[in-house]
Amino acid sequence: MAQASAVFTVTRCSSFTPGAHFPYKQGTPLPPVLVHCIPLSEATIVVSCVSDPTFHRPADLSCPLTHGLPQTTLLDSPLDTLPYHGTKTPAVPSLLRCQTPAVPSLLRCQTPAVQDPPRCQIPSGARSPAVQDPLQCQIPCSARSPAVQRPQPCLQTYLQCPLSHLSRVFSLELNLKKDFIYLFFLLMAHENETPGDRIPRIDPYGFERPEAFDYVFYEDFYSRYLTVLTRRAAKWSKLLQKSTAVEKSLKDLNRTFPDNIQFKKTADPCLQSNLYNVLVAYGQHNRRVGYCQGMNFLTGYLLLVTKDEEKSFWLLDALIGRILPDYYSPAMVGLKTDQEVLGDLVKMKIPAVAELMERHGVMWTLVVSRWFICLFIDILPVETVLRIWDSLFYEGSKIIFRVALTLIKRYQAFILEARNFPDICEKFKEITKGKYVTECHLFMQVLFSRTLFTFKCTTPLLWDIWDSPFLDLPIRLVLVCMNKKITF
Amino acid sequence: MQSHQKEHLYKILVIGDLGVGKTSIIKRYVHQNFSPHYRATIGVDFALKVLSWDSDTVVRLQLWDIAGQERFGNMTRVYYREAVGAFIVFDVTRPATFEAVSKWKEDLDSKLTLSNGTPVSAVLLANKCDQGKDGLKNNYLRLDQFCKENGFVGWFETSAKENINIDEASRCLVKHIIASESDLMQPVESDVVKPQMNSSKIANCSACFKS
Repeated sequence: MAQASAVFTVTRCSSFTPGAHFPYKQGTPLPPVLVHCIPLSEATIVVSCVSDPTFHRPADLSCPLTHGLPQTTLLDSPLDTLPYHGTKTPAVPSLLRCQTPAVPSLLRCQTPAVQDPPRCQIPSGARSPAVQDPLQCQIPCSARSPAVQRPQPCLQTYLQCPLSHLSRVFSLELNLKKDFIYLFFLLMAHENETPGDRIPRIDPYGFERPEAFDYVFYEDFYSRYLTVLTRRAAKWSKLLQKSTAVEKSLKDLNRTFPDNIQFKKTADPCLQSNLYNVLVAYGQHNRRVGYCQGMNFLTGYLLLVTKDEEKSFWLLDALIGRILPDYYSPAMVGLKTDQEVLGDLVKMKIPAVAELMERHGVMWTLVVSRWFICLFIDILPVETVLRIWDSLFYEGSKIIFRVALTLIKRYQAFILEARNFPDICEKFKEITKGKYVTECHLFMQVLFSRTLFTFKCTTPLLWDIWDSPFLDLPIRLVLVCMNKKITF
Repeated sequence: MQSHQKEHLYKILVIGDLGVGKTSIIKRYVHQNFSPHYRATIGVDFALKVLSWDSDTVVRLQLWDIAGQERFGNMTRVYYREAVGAFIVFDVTRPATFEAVSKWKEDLDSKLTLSNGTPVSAVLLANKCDQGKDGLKNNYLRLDQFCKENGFVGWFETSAKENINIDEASRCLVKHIIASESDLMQPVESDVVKPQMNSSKIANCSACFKS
């Protein structure tokens, strides 16, 4: 049989964990593959490629991951519960036991949901005689038009082919709400293949596998592990799916970082949609908190740094759920408490400022609530914020007090110049600007110098050096020496 | 001559739902500019505007820009203290923000009264009128009625973008503040307003009387 020139492309490979191992880059032609589509939860699963039955062991594939996996491990529900046509072959390798029916060599396709022709964007050149018929069975190629697919909540497509024709990849795409496509894949084995044939000698991280590598066990492990990964990813996709009240209150998408090019509506990719997803998912995940203004800024920063929705989500969860004590819940008890605590700390450490605030009736919440809610975003320079966050993630919310006290202490004299209420508010805005806070590394050093509030005689010198516009080597040396003195 | 000038300092709240344009109105009024790209206000922000009211009166307005999200409500309660007037803003392109107006007004009146127990002067702003499709034209009467029922001293169609009616609205509010102040003012009193929060309510607590 003539080799078909079936060429399909991966239209999008998301950062979904199993997909991270996806061997093909976006836009790369895929080898002919078997396709199998099964609905997973409420997501729509669609297929983007179809196998070429004439296709055999593709030795020439530069595919780094070739774990054969039983389908049941890939999906939460066992295959047997899914629409299934054809009989199972008993004599198949265990890995493929669940999904290798003895069916005619032609692929069979079952698509309950009728597809409009435009959705089947299989390139014409992709049709080998052998696969033509099944292809005409309306295999949706929605990876190319995710938006068109969305209205269909649960499309099922199921293809089967004999074992000998199971060649390479299962490509499943969860076409979720908001055009999110998760793509993961499953490599199928040939009858006479061993795990050693399937698993590459170099692991996905670039390490060569040792001579005595237990491929059989590893494949077994990985097929189980992929279940875990899939479950985790499925959780994320579930969080994204449900619309909540959070969505309604999300008026802040284009009011998050309007001056950031990556958040502009015209940007490609535009982080606004990622921001939306993370916030909706978080509202879903932590209903007690839902959405609180300020979380948009935190998420925005996390997205800018990680470039990844899911990572941002979990970091946000760490911040809100663990690190910050109840800042964003409807009663904002933690926030109010911490503002009071700061007031008390100032009273102890910098009494003159506390007295000034009291005299003019300035509530701490008025000048510092944004410090707490936005964790210094838009208040201090980006580099400084990120350094503070490093410490925040590591040491907890007490860092916020440290930053606040350091600033107030440093600018004590300046703040005390204030004569009235608006003056004070203005001073508190001013002290977050300038060289002092831009020099983030030095700022962090001072933040953690133990003498900051105990040895009053040494710190002013440190501040003076810091204020020097030219931090040349000798001065830095002095600084280092001083730091030593301070630290030890 | 300046020494003869009287100075008034008024604290004015700007409240209303999320994204109705409170910050934009303030920026327009105080800095005479507009940007479609303001960030969401967190907590509270404030700005100063100095008005030459008449030849011998200078009015300093402290405009308090209060975050629109409901949950900041119980935190922003403290910001209401000592305010003598308020703008309540809604967005003409989003009816839900108008529905929230009476809620904002009730909230304001429950948290803040003048020393004689009367509510502070409040002006209703129908903002983004440059975007509304004549929707308000038919509702003039309804809005007049609404203001009467809900105790607003007046309402204005405004646009921070096109600078429509913001100065007018402000003059209207200040006029009413001054008027209510002279009502309040007993002779010899300075022009300081001393709101007493909830004092009457506490006295009305039924449990207190029972014991």
